[in-house]
Amino acid sequence: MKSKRADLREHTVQVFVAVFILVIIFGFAVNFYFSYSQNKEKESAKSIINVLEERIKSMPENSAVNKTIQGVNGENWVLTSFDFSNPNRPDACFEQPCIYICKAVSSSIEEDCKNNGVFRRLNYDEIEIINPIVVSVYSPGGGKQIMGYKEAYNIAIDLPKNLIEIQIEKRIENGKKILIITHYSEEYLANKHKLLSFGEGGKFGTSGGGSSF
Amino acid sequence: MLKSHKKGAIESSELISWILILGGFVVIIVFIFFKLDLGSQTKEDLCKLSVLTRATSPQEASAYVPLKCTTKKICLAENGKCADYNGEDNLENIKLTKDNEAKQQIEKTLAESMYNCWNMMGEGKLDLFNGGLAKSLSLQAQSVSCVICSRVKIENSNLDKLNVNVEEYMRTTQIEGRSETYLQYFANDRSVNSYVSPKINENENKITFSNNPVNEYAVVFSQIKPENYENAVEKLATFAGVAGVGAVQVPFIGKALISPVGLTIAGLTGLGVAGFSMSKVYEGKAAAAVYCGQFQSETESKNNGCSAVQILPYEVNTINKICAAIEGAP
Repeated sequence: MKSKRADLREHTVQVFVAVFILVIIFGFAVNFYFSYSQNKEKESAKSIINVLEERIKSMPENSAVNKTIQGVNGENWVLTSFDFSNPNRPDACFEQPCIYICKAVSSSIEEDCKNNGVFRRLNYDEIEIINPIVVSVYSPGGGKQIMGYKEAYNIAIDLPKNLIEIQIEKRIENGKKILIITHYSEEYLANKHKLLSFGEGGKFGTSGGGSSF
Repeated sequence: MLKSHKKGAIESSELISWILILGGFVVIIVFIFFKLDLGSQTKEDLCKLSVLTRATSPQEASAYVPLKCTTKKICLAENGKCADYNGEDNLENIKLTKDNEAKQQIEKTLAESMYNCWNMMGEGKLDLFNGGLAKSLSLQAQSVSCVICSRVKIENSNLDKLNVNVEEYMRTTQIEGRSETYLQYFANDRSVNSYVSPKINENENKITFSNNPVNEYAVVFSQIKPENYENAVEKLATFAGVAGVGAVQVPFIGKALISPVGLTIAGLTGLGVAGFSMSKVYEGKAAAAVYCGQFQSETESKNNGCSAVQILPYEVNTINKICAAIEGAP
């Protein structure tokens, strides 16, 4: 009678092949699992951008509408746009401005969109995304005393997993076709009154700076 | 069963056969659910199929089975078209008549939408939002997930005078092709003929959501797996100030169009560890159905949870207060 060890030696090759194949199958399953979760989020982003595109196309020029849209069922997805004013825009938006829904994982929205995003080219000269925030202005010289508040703008709109309201405006100015997508966050609306402390001059309309609420 | 000629030894040819069978099975599953063109099926069939697929998948993988449900847009307008739905997918336009039939058209549409939604989502008994692997490993907090089955836009100049009463319609009207009323279907009891009495504390429970007239409603399916049922039903269907276990909120339809949209909370009786209930609307015109109990599952470890289908104003504030995440295509 052969010992267990002898049995194992006799079937070493078969066992090795079986383990090897199982490892491959396991690897495939894990890869599929994670790539599919990404893909699922991208599918969700695609359906959102389709709705947005259709809505924009169906609007008459020089009009504005409020639209409640569904966000993306995943973390860190944003709505942004690229037009000719951005030299670092993704290749997809090189010849025609576009709107983009991207997974924002780094500090460079351009890179994030190139790596993981869905886009639609639109026939406009300019596309603006306006997501205003209220930021505090500190005393000069690095002081911690808040001198007042100003309005700044994010160039992307965070898309939640549930619903979000945006305003879409189509305008023709000096022969230029302009598309503006605006979102007023709850945070902004709650802090908007603080801008009054700076009066009219409080609205600098800058991008970034200060610290938001 | 694998044949073993010697203790601990399996024939390599059989092992390879089993591996090939397993691999083939995986390929077929992937092909059926992710690549096969199911365009010939209706959107509702497709949704139902994906619901069943998800519900019967192991918990660790189920979150990655997509719910192929697309929100149906129903336009009820005198001219048969809603400008807001221009360019929308899965759209049905219904021309509203100018006489009293419009009332019935609206009631029928809303009742059918609720029925279709509940039916499509497995009557609340399937575990659809279990959070997958992250939830299994307790990495994810408990939250309410939703599917917006349909959105109904009503464009009628006399809507406030029509006295639309979906609740009464569901109590008295039989579902087409079935021998029970909508109320009996939702209550899962053919002897039911009336709504349970509401426990209303008007000061506490009458909540105003919006100062704007609402003419668009969403039929929302929501589900949660709670630590306790009291919290579950509150999270699914209420925002605050709920008296007692099992309360749901429902929108006014009709009066709400000329006044701030008020939602009332109505008590459910008989809601326990398992069971169906149908809410009574205090003075509103619509209703919500809730199921709390053990979900049906292929696995031994069955989860408990609560599901609800309800008609809500299609507004960010209202829907987001209930739904932390929305699945399906808009």
